Amino acid sequence: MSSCRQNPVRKAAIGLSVSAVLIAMSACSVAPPDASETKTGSEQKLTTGDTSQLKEITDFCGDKPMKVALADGQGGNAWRKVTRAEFEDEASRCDNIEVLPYADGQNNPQKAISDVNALVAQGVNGLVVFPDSGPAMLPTFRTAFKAGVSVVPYTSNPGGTPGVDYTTFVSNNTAAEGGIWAAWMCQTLQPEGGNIVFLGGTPGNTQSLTELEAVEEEMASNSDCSNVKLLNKSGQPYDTNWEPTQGQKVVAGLLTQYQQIDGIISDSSQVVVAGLRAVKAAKRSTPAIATVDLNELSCLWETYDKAGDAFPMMSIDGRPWLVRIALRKAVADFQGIDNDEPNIVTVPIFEDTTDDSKPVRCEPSLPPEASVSSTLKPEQLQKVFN
Amino acid sequence: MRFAWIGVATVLLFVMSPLIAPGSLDSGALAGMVPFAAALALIAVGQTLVLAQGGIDLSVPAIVGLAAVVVTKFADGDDAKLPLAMVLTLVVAAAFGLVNGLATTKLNITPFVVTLATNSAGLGVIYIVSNEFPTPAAPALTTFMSAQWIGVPTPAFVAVAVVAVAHVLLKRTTRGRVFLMVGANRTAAATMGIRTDRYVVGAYVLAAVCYAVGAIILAGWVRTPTLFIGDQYLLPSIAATVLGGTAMTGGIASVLSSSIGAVFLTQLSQVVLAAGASTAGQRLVEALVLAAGIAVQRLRLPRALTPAGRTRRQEARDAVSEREPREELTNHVKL
Repeated sequence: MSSCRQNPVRKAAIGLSVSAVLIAMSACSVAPPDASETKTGSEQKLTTGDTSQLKEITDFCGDKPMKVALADGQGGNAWRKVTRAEFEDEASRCDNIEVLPYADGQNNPQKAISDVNALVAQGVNGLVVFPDSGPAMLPTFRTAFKAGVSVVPYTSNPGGTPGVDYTTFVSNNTAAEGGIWAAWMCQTLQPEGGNIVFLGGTPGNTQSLTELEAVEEEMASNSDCSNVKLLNKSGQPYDTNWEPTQGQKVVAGLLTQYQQIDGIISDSSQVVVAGLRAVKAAKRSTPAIATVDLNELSCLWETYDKAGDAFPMMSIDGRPWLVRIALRKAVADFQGIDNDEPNIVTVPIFEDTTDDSKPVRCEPSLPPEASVSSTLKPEQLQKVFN
Repeated sequence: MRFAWIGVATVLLFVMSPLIAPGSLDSGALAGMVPFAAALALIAVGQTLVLAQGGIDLSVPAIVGLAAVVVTKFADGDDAKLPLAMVLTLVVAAAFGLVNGLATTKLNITPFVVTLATNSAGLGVIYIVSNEFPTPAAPALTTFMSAQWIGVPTPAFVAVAVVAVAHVLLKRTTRGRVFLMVGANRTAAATMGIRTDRYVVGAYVLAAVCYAVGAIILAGWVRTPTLFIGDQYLLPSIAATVLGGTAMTGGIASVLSSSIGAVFLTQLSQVVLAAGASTAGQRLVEALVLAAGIAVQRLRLPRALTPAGRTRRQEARDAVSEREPREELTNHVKL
């Protein structure tokens, strides 16, 4: 009998041994920097508020040396670049904070999980994560949190329980944004009213569904909306995958289906820009727009304005600064200082063509994808893109 | 018949479009559809060339994305730099195709594996070249791709020109016939003394150039192409090619039918959207039509219904004869 042949029991034993070694190795990769720091928590209630309740990081720096890091589930766009710069700028204001290398999960859940594990192995104390992979990240968060790391996911909800599975969660107030868009749209379309559409992202994504629900609630309760008709079927955003080319096709389809579209609400300005191209190709009048701030849209609006074709537009703040709150929460937790800033922040209106105090802000020197609502100084923003 | 049915199906689709979604043949609706169809047609032409050699190109997303990044980044919004940026785009794409071709022939690695790997590498290069954010196309490119001539969007003319040249080269020249012969049976072609590697490498290079031209159209039309704009074109390019009648086993191909397949798919998608179908409905309809389209190609038609009463056996014999070297061709081949 060949020496390569083994009986099944022996094979199973070897398999189990290899598995045990692999499990031990993977456990080593997320072992706590100091086993004595292992913590357990109790459920934390998330608070809602607005930007007037935000504080300075210097209130939470403390005096313990600490390592912080930002782990993105998916980098590779201007918003994430600005967010990263905001994070590093905020961290630089505390002398006792060291920033570990930035991690980009490249839209690969496996890599995103490995990134978090690697940062824990490097001794990170405060970890801010954009969990694009959602609940898939939860076991990793739980392990890191129990290992003593202050873990703060932001913007994308990973599920689980704040205070038990991770330190806390920070996000913009998605529901409030839907209401703000709908109220502005209804007011802007007065007195004639009209037809409006809501463009969402990927099919079934929670963010777009929550926003649409808020739009519908606002339209049901706001008297300005009595002669405004939402063309979406109830609870069904028009799916664009947040892809401009798909957005353009969807809007072209809507223009074919409906003779009159007076307003577009979308949680993606890039989709709006693409949709406006479809409107122009179809030679239809430009609808009112309610969306999120984006340099490309602002500059496009200026082009229309110069040509005498300005359309009503409102954008809420693109909140690339939200990551600063997440960092402050992580730092405060590690330093043992209370942080009473809101977890769920209602972001303000950034541009409104019907309000002179909120003019459209096009920055030609910045890339079209940039969010001009960044709190970075212009020279810092320039540096991000050079 | 193999290549003709997609033309019939496309005509039927356009005739039925207004019945399914009123207004879907309005000039505005067509103006929005044609540039996307033109880009997909060119990408499908490239995929056809590779499939004709019995290969498959999974690096479409990387090449299209990289070409869009190069043409926008190197022009940097300056019309004066646009010609050089366009030339650079074609050169970069050709180099990408050359790597695919050489890895397939000289290293003898399966095309599936080669192009999967180069696609991954190409996506990484996109990150580096773009500095992780997209750049708007030069104004002249946007103006040209958004313009219309005698009521037809200009991207259509670009696509028609490239498809016409590719069709003539493939079907009306000796090189084209040899190209198909190599795809049908590389061993036999090599035995005849044909340098088959040149044709295979050439297929990947020309395919990449076609993808790049498609990407230039997209960049001009959408103005600020996202870094991964090519992701949406891999499966449609294969679907359009197969719907057009090109055999995935190589040797039987028509770039003209593939480009018509691209128009068919784009219009189908637009009509389904305009009819107000949900995302689930859109996907189901498109899948069913694709399945039906491929099934129709396999149907055995009664003798009376086949063109000029040709039997299935006769068609098969003709198809085989296309795959076999013809005597007159060998006279033109370097031995």
